[in-house]
Amino acid sequence: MWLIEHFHDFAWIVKVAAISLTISIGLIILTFIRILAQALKRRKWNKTMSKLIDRYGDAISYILSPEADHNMGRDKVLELLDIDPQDADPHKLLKDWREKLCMSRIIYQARISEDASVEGNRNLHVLLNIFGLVDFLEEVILKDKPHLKVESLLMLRAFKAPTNQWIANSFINSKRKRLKRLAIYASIMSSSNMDLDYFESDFFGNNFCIYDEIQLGFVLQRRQSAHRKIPNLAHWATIQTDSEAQAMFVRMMRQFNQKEYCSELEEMFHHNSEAHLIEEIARTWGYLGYVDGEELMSDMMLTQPDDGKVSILHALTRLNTGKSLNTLVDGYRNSGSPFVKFEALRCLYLYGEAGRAKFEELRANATETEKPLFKFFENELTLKDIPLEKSARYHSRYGDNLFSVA
Amino acid sequence: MWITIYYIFSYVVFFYTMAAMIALLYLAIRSSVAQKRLLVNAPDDDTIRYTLKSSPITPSVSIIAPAYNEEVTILDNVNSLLGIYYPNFDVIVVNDGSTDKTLELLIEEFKLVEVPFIDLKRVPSKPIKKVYRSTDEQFAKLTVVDKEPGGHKSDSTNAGLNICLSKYFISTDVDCIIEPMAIYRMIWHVINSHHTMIGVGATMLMLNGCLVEDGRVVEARVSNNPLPAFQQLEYMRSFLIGKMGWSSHNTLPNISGGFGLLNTEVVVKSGGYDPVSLAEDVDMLLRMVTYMENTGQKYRFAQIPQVCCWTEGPFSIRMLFRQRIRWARGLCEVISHHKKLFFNHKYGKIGASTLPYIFIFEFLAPILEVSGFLFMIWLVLIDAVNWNTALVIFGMIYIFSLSLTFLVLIYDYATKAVKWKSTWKSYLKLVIAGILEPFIFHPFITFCSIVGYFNFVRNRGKIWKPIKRKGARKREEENNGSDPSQENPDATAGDINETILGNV
Repeated sequence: MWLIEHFHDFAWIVKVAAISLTISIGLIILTFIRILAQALKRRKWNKTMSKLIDRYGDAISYILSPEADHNMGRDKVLELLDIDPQDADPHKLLKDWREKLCMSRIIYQARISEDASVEGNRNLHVLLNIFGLVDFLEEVILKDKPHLKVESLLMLRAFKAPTNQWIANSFINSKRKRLKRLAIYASIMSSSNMDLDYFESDFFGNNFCIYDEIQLGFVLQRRQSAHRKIPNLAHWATIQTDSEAQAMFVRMMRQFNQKEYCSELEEMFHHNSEAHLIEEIARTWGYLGYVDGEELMSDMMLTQPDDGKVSILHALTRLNTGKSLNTLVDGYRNSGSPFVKFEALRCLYLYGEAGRAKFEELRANATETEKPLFKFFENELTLKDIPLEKSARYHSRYGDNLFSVA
Repeated sequence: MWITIYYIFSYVVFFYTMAAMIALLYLAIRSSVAQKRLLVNAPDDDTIRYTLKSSPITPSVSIIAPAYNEEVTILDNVNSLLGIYYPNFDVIVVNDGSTDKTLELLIEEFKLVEVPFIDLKRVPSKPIKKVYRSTDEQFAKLTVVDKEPGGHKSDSTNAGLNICLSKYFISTDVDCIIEPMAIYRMIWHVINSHHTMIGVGATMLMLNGCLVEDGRVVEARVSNNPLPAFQQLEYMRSFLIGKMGWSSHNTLPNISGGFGLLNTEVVVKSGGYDPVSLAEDVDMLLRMVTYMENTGQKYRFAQIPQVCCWTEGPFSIRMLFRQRIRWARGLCEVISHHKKLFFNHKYGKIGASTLPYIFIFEFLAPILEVSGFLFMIWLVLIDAVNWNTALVIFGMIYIFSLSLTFLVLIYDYATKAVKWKSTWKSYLKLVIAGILEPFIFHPFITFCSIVGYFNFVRNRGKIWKPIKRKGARKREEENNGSDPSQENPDATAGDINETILGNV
């Protein structure tokens, strides 16, 4: 009222300014209150975290460390945690929701730290059992805020806790695609018996991202560790509509050594217009030694963009049947890119005696602009990088079977 | 007639101010949305590292760091770059014809030898003379390129791109200190994107006043020197409100030239950096957008609130003046070169909203402010000022500016963007800077902008003048009470949009 009366006779421009001023002051006060509230909340969390770390931190780090006996048993773990077995009731040990979440985070941090190991380490499950954390995290997944759900799913995945199919089912219709996929991955990760029907459809749609590939790599790796059959990845590749998702399954065929399904990729190789997919198929055929694809690759080499040409040249070199010498020479002679020319030379250099002879012939007849390319084969440092595994950093890592952390 | 002009101008200034305030408030709200989304989607550093460190598909990243006469800092900084946590990266230092011992020091310290190289000539740059690699396995990630002097950072970055084979690269300055987890944090957004991620920006703050040990910022502090403190606040506003706000709309005014992750293929196909641009970061972003829109590809940008890079800001007014007139000139160049993108919805959100915002609230702001100031003086002289109205409007703008400062602090606190040595003390310094800024720092920056515009009109100030750096060790000494003697105006070369929000 005071404001209305005071500004009654002023121009509207002043009234607008005064209102803006009031709103701004209100904003400052609100933000200040919010900072204080957040600070108090954070202090509370920090206090709880510090208290639990002081009480259990060292013991948990030791229990999960590679040096510790991997199968200590409940009594020994309780002893290390300095807990009387009679008091080992999860509700007594951790008072409230905050303490349980903090304890989950402490164990998670210890689990994923550089030194901690989970393979064959049963102490982790004993720890989770003592504090009742698996049930707690499942409860969080059901009831809490989305970011806590995500965090809990990641923790359960890292703990490899024996969770149930309901986790995936509860998110299967979720609008949050990330949560839905995480839930599915977490469920599959936590049980080697979980079926993989999800991927028998266009699971990724147009929403594929590299994170999916990393997760799925872990999932299949776990399945392989449990000596269960890896499904036909070439078939999954053909089902997907997103070419990136298709390329992922083609890449994974290398990882899981699925040579028997290579022929299913021929149609895709021949008719697909996505250059990166053709690259991946060629690389996979090369790694897996799919000799039947050699002619097809040779025919298509010169029609590909630079990266595609290089992939095919590498694949032909890996196959090393002796039939593709001319294709490698074509790669050198008919390409304008020094990158492709160099890669063709590398392939010739590695292509048995015939290849090496052709390499020397080309070296003898090299023009002034071509001569620098041959210097790579004379320098001690660069010569070490000539094997195909070191050809280009983004190529070399794909071929390795490195899905070791899950 | 004068009365008509008086009224028109008054109303133009008033509505302009109101529009700027609304735009900023909108960005602040969007920033809050973006930060909340990140809180939900991005896990903590340990989880990201755990997920990516041993995956065979972790994308490769090259750090391209141009260097010119950096003998004071080069060894510490290259060691710092090599110590970054990431499983699949390399460092390409491009020596742009240094006249001091930069190259010799590198060769000696890292046991470098000359190796053959292929200059892919994918983007324009001065010729590469030699390429060096280390014979010592522990420095295997390092490549040093020695090239003909190009005189501009963008030319050196292009030279680095011509030998870079990684899928992504980070454009930075060799004197910047990068947080060890920086690449992990940025690449997380690449691997979670459904469309081609063309660039990821991260918050960058002033190194001045911080304690540096072994090439790492071990204590973040706000400098006691007022100039870096003002810039600290300006940077925080720019990154935490401006860029975070824009990024929620999948658009950005720029990806900082001091530190930004870019998609190599898209940069190359867009023609690389303009070798003589003074605002190469904005220019590059616009080139990439033009390429993606012209080829009909879907793309994304991302901006993350965490501090990933620390850079040394100018200590003295002279150096700040030089830096800011260069930025202002760079802004004029960008507007001139990319005028077809402005107000053009064919170029996506950048053309339809971000660039118009830059034009109206960045480029025009200094002109309107100076003319408004002169107009006010004239009104005072003829005794035509309605002081009640003037004071209310001034109070409105001032309080709004302060509220933005508070908002930045709450964002910083909520996202834990910076781990300050003493949070409350740092915040107090920043609040004081916020209180004084409209009277001291901002008028100066406005003046620099006007000089930069004049330079552009008169075609002057194209030369990128070399400067000397203090170096991390000296900064440590400064923290122990020594007197700073050298300045670095070019530390964040080309980051013209770090001034966003500074002009209001």
